[in-house]
Amino acid sequence: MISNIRLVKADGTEFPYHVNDLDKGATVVNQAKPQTLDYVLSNIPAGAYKQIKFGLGIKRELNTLDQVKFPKFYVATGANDTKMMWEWGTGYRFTKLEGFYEADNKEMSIHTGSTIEGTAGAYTQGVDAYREIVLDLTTNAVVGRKVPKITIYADFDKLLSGKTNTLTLKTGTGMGDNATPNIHTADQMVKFVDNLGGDGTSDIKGMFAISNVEN
Amino acid sequence: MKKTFGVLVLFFLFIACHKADIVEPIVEENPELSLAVPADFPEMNTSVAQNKPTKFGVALGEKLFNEKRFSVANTISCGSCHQKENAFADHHPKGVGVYDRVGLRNAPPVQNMAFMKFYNWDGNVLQLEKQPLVPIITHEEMNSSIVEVISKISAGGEYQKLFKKAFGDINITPDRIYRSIAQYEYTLISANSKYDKVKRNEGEVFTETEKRGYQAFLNKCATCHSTGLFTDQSFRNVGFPLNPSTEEAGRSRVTGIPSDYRSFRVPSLRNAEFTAPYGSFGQFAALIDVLNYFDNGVLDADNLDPILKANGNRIPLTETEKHDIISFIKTLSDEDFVGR
Repeated sequence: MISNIRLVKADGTEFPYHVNDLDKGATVVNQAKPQTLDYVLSNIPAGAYKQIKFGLGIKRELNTLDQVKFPKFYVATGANDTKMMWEWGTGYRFTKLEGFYEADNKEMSIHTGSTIEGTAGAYTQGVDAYREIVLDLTTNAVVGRKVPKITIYADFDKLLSGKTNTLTLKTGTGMGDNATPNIHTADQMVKFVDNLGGDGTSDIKGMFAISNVEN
Repeated sequence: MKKTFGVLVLFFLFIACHKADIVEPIVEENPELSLAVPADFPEMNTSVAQNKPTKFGVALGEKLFNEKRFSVANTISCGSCHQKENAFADHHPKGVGVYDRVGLRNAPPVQNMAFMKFYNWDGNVLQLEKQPLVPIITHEEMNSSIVEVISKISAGGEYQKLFKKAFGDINITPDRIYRSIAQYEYTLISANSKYDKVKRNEGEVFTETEKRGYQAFLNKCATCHSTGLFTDQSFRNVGFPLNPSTEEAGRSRVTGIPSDYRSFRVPSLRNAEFTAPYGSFGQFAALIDVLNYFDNGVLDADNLDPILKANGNRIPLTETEKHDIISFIKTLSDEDFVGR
């Protein structure tokens, strides 16, 4: 789940792309639906852009499953083939990886999402699974007469072999078991979050990298 | 004599008509309800001050609490699992929602909510206003959505009048739904049991068994089941049989703190007589089963409650003590509250 997209111009100024409107500025990238792999940003001011920032997940203020405010996003995330709502946390699932692992095809199901309560700087409980990603473009993307295309590569190998943690999947109901069907503890979940989206301090890229900018 | 009286009535009617012409349309007064803090209860949750119960807010909340159109199939209301006669809990081990879908945990009683800092078994909710959406959208509970709910209850125009009385205009909004339900729940205060009457010196006295039970309770249970709520609102792993669901991690699902693994909120003992079965997923059919389990020894764990660890992973109890403690727990039954 990608939101809070900001494009940084060569001169350092930021263009926020509908950062407070999930209907217009957030999207669910679903590997099972190839059409969701392309996301078109429209009405971008002309100019040269050197950097892209985005959120993996939804920032806390908007992570409330507000169906009235963002009906399109609510439908898109609640759809049967997506199910990106985390009902008990009344927020969205930020990432969801499901499948099988090892030779005997044990079930794997990793969901991430925030359980944070309170206001920024004074959180009272929970974990924040939202991550800000900052990527320098390999060459400036020039918005003008032509439409530039930025290709972002997400390396899922980082899920287990990330910059922050090296993880081994384990099936079971114990505290350290982290493979099925959801991660049992927010503690285990955060390790995956840090690998996928960075730890927010020393790693602000997570599994993401710019593979190409086409002008 | 009769004639004079008739003239007087007419005169008053005339005045009333005349006044109505010049003042705003009459809005019915919607007074705030005062919530008394019973003895030994903790302070109120700070959210109550932000959403003070009013006469019509509470009335609306109660109606919404019992509104079956909250569920996708119009079969389940909040009150389906939170039944008044059972202290707003039910007798299923785990919650049963639409199409008989079974949830993860035991439906907790809805009582004395205004005085609680944490809601649900794992304390994921800290503000009661944030709770109603959860069952509405959860697949195993109502499996609906707030927009669907608003659309259904908007039909017929009945609710618009109630929202106007409660909130000043006819708009039915998610926030008003959550707030009115919370207002109603804030008024569900149980503090009129035999125990309370004994404590308040209102003429009731404990029987010998209850008296012994109270002493045993103070010695062996009251560290956790403390204050007038009969819970210290802490989260503890007391080594109860484990929920086999791999979704269950207790409090650590929320906090991410390893020592919270399989920890649950200490439940209140008020009205426990009416809320069987017991435990986070209804592991125990009766109170005696809970006490026998503590006496026989609980499951070990790294984060097992230190008090249990210090006592050989058990709470030793004689058969007489168990019997007495259950008698005492029954003095916490509030017949007025459950309407029995």
